[in-house]
Amino acid sequence: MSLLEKVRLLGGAGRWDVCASSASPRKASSADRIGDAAQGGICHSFTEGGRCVSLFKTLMANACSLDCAYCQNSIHCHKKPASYEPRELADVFMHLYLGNYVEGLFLSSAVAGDADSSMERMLEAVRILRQDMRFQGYIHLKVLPGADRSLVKEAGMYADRLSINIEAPSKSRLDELTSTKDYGSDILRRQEWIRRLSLPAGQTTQMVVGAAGESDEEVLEAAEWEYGSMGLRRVYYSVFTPIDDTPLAGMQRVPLEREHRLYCVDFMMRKYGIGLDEFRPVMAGGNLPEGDPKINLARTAYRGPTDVNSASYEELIRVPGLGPLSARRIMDLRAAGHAVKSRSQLASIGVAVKRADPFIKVNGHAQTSLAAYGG
Amino acid sequence: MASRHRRYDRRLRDAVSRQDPALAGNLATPQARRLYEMGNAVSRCLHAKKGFLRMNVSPGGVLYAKTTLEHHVLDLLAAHFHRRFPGYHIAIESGGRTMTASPSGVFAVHDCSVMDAVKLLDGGAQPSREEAGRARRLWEEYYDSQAISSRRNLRLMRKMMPARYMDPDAYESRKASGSGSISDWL
Repeated sequence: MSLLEKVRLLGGAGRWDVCASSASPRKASSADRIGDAAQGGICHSFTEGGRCVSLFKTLMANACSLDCAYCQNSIHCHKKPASYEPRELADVFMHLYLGNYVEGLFLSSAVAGDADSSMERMLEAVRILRQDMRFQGYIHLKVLPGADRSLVKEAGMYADRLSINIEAPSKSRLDELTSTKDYGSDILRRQEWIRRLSLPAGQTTQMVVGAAGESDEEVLEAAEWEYGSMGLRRVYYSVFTPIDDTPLAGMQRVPLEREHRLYCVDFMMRKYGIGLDEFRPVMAGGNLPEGDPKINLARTAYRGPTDVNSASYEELIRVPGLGPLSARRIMDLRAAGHAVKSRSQLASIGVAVKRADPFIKVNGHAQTSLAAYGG
Repeated sequence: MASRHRRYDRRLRDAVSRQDPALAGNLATPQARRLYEMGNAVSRCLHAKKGFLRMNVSPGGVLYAKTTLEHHVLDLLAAHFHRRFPGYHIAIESGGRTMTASPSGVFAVHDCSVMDAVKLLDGGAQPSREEAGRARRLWEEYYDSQAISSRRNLRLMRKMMPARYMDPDAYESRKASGSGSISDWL
């Protein structure tokens, strides 16, 4: 098999993991090195779906012994088997990195046989990168379900970030998708091991949304638990897409809008401090309604326009079109003795006035009709 | 950062510095907002080039590239690649001039093309086209493998990545031939 064919097959096999973050606060430790990590991450291209491509995201091997019903690499699917030798993968990656095509490496693998031998091959590739090639840029390593603790610890020595995908919000949901992974012992236990490591970019996870009939409420409850108890930096959501040859090939595709709504609520939970309990009255049957979750939340909680010159910070950030930065600027202005005088001044501060207008009052003036909300 | 903007006007900065610090600092005046946006535009330009500038490697270990910069950030760009690849010479051409950075951290500007600068740094050796093409072929194969047809959203893609950041050679040749399809360019 040619190298280019391996790049295509194994890159394509890894594309369903949606994490593209390459941000790490780790400082490069010596001048005798290649590469460093960028604190905020750097995007090197975008797919036709608008997704950032910043990492060389690939599997080490694509022939899996697990039977996950949603996955193109699972034991169900007929595919051309491909795998990298560790040094081969390291070489390909370094060519791309030196050419400034990618910001770092995202390495996963199918579980070919047993998790430990698959992880050992991944670790050998990363060892070659870090030690032989002196690479000090960003590495995100996947931990395979069931991998031994010693391998997880070793992975933590090389990686900026580790992750293991929970795939579903609960054991009962995961059991509908696979018989070869146990939610508690294969996945959550590994998450706990990762949590105890000191990683520059922390730990993340991913859920497939809609494959096992779970509601948005279940998904977000699991995310809330992951952030609180496992200390995760991010939870990623990937809506289910049916893949040929898999047991779920005949299921309907889940709309992308559902993923957008989950990310919207996730962002508000993490960055605004708005708890999931505030979103429950907005949901219908455990699912977020169509439309922007923040606008739906504001409509549900509406008790009259928010006066930007007297509202608290918590009240301001719940206004659509107003985020933590704009709210902080308004509070700082008020603390310095300045009132917000006009909508044009709000726009200058950074407020999306068209979105905020139905919900705010400036200088005593507010929109008079709720019907003016529009979209 | 705003001072690196191609349309930077010092009078704007002077006007903002005379305003109430609380108003200016919180962007509550049109002038402060304009100055902030200039700084943002420069930061975005630099950040985009950090991600989209493709480098070639010469036989003598020079990382080189040619680009067009909207704002005055060539030195910052060269510094970024010098930090990232401290063992390499860096050579980046923009606007007919080439900035170089040596492994020891010496920066210089030359009135020549990047290829001439590379020849000088490489002791006269000609960079290999084949080697330059290898990373590009690996990238193209990898990039094509990342597409998920059910997620296709060209409008969002164009919003995230303006045409000027797409592969420059493909973009120029498609533009010349009149092809209007984004997918052709990639």
